[in-house]
Amino acid sequence: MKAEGNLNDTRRELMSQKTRGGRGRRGRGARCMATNPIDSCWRCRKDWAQNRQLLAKCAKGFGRRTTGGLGGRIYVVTDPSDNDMVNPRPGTLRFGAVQKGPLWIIFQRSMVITLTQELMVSSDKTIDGRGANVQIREGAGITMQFVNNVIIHGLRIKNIKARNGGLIRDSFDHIGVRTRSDGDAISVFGSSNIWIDHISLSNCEDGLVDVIQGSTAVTISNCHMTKHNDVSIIHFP
Amino acid sequence: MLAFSFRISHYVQYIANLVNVYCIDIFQVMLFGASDTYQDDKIMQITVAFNHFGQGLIQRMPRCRWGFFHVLNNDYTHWIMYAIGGSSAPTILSQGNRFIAPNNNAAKTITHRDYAPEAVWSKWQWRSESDHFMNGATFIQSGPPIKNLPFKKGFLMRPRHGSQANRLTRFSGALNCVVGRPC
Repeated sequence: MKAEGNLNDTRRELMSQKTRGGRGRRGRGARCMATNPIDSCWRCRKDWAQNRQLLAKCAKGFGRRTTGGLGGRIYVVTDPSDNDMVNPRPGTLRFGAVQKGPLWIIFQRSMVITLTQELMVSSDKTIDGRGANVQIREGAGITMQFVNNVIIHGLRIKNIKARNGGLIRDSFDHIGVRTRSDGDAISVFGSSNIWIDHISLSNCEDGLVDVIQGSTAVTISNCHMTKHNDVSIIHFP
Repeated sequence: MLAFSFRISHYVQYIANLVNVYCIDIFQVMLFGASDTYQDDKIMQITVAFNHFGQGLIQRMPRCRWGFFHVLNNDYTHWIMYAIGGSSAPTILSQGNRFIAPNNNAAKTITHRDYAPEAVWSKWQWRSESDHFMNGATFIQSGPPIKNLPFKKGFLMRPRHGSQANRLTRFSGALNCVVGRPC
């Protein structure tokens, strides 16, 4: 599957230069190129797509106990829309994120998801974008508030904007009133055992990753962060 | 210009070096702990590993308060003001990162400490081990070496030398995995 709008542009550009160490993955036939211990835990397996939950054993660092949706069903996102904050439609990302118990969320195809309000992810979930080009952009970001054990993997998050808030379902049996969101790509609030891996982040209104309010046991790994802003033009002499 | 001047008042020396500044927003890349009065954030333990901090980022990669932050094997190829900042006595262990400083002579320092005189921040433990510095990047260390960890050793990832950070982070960002093939 070929990525269309690519957030890794600079990286790819740089890779083609000598300074970035030469060849990257080119085209379809490229062999496995795990270059660090987190990646070598899963990337070289041909059957990663059949055994997606093996990823749950790969966390390291303070977030090493994170297992996300391990042991739960696989839930496939088929619908990129995000219209109902209170009773999300089955097939949407938001519906999966607020289900009860462990759930491993994957994507049927490449898609662009524009979140109307913050996506509240509940405990014991994995959002696994491998195998598709999943872009979360031009809308609200992802929030984990007072939850435990979440893996977020393989998403492209771009141009996140502040949203006004309102009634949003934050777990299977709770709907809360959210105040205005900041426009952070990923915000971790009072949560623990969070692993954020292989996320491309760029151009968000407030920040890329906020970890606040007594959150702990968090690992942020393999992320690529940039800010290409056409409005901010900064030249050095 | 006015909108940002008050928050960057101590960056006057940088501003002097900036030409054609149309807009700088105070944009946080990673914020760990949002308040200098919220002491409960002392329990914060965060690992930041194998990330690539790329173009256009200004500061706060990350901006830390209170807790213990293990920053290892990241590749800092661009920053505009500083890379790692903090206040409220965070403990920062920087290991095996590669820091390439910007050409601006006023922004060669990787570290930035807020709201504390040197007498106070010199006790904060900010340590650099096996980091790789390029283009004049300097990490100002403070405090004694980090020993007597308040957690099991297994929570600290084992770093490689900073000269390998480029290779370790080569596939940062979302991957283009194809079902049925190694990724």
